Amino acid sequence: MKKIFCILSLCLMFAVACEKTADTDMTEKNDSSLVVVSQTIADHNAVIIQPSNSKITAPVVVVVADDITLATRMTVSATPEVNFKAAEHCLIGRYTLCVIEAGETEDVSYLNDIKSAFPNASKLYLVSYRNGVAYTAAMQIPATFAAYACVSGAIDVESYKVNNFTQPVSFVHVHAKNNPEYKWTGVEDKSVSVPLSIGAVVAINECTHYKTTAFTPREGKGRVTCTQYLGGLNGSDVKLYTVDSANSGWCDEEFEVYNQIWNFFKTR
Amino acid sequence: MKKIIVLFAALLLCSVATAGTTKKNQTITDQGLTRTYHLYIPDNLPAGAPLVFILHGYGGSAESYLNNTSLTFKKLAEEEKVMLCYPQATKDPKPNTGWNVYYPWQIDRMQVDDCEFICNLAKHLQTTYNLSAKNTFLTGMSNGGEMCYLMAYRKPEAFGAIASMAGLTLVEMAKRHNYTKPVAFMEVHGTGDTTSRWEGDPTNQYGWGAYLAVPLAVEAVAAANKCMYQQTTEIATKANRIQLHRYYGSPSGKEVHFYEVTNGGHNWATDSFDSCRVIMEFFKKYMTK
Repeated sequence: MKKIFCILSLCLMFAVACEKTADTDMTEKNDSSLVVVSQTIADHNAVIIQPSNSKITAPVVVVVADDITLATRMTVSATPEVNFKAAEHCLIGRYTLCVIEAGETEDVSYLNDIKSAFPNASKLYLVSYRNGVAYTAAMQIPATFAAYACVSGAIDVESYKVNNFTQPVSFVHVHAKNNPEYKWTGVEDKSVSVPLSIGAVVAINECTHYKTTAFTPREGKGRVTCTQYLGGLNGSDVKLYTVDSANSGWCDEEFEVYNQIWNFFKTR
Repeated sequence: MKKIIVLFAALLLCSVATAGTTKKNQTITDQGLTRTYHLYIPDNLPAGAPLVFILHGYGGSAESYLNNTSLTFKKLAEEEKVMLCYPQATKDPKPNTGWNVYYPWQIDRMQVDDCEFICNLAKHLQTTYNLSAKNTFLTGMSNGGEMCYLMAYRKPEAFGAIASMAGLTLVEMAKRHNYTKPVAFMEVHGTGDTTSRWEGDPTNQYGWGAYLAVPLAVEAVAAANKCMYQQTTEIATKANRIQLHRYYGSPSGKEVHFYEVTNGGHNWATDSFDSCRVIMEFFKKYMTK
């Protein structure tokens, strides 16, 4: 496993060295390059990506993925032709990206150890990618992260049976309406419907109303709308990005998802 | 002659359909007040029969609901052998007849606890008429719909299921109460309702007090029930388009049904579909032996 990680790291470093493709999201790109390190955090495999000149106090965005190899392929491509946006975006936000393997249990207490891995980080944010860990974490450890995001996942049914939302959290969810894996209406014994997942957060936050904004669709791509739930307790904010496609990944073909998530995070 | 026979037959059918007994102006003393209510008792009501409360709207009366022929509850009560109770709200500080649901002019000025009243009346009727406590249900329109939400917060165990027509969750309700137990719940609401607005009124622009957007109010109940899945279906109607959003998969088995009436107004939506029958069918899902 270590060997795989070493190879992966080398590939990532190589990719970082090679990759400087044009990126429509890159509005504030600086001259920094990326440093990629693989390590183990609380027995979970992790890859840490950060701008070479980042400060020790830089905020940390933790991405939890079921399959870290897949996640890193999605975030840091070893092939220069493939998009490199997710990883490179930390240059814009000047944050540290920590991609960590979800593990097999519903217990997310390992995420508490992220804190000790980044003791000087100004803030920690959590993204769950193609799973429901952000929701489970929002239920189990709502104070650990400044804000939570779920991309192409939903509340895990088993987790929802034993966990409850207990306090308001800031939460953003990105989901394609025709996602074949995490279906919008839920998947029996696997995932809660997307509106009910975000609805549970809206309910605990006691949001009172909402407004919906439509993005101008990219050519040949599905329409994206953002529903913002307002009036929540303690200034907590909730957003749902609905993507009119069957994308089960980052939905970055349809809109500037990394910017949207980061802009949501950085105000928390 | 044929016409007369047809007319006579139709009248006969109507009278058979609602052949039960109406008991008007019944009274009970509760919280030091004499409260009135009307009953509709179907013929041959069996022991342990269900009981359905029907609550009128703001400024309204129980009697007008009892006499409203566009509401088919009495016919349905005959079919299902269910007793109907139409309680009357007291006058609030405005003074209009209204249930105490924390409208701004009611807060701290209206002493009566209408949730307690309805529950006490339910116990009285269950005992007096040998009705089923488990199979006691609640529905109401507008201010009566608000009572449905308030009851879901405060007395979820008192009803087998609750159905709100054009009801709202006031922000004041959400501040004071939490949903503590799952409750089978139903809402019918028009997106064009200009009295109880679909989009909510977070700043109390329209005077009823700040209230939640209707979809958020319904989803809050679904969240409290831990409903997991949803399904949206088109309902065949005579007028407005109606979509049923069904939230299900709660560990308790209690579902939330949300009828979205496109461009529907502040009414029972009877010009679009038989909403009373839909309510009764929803209640029947939760009737236990």
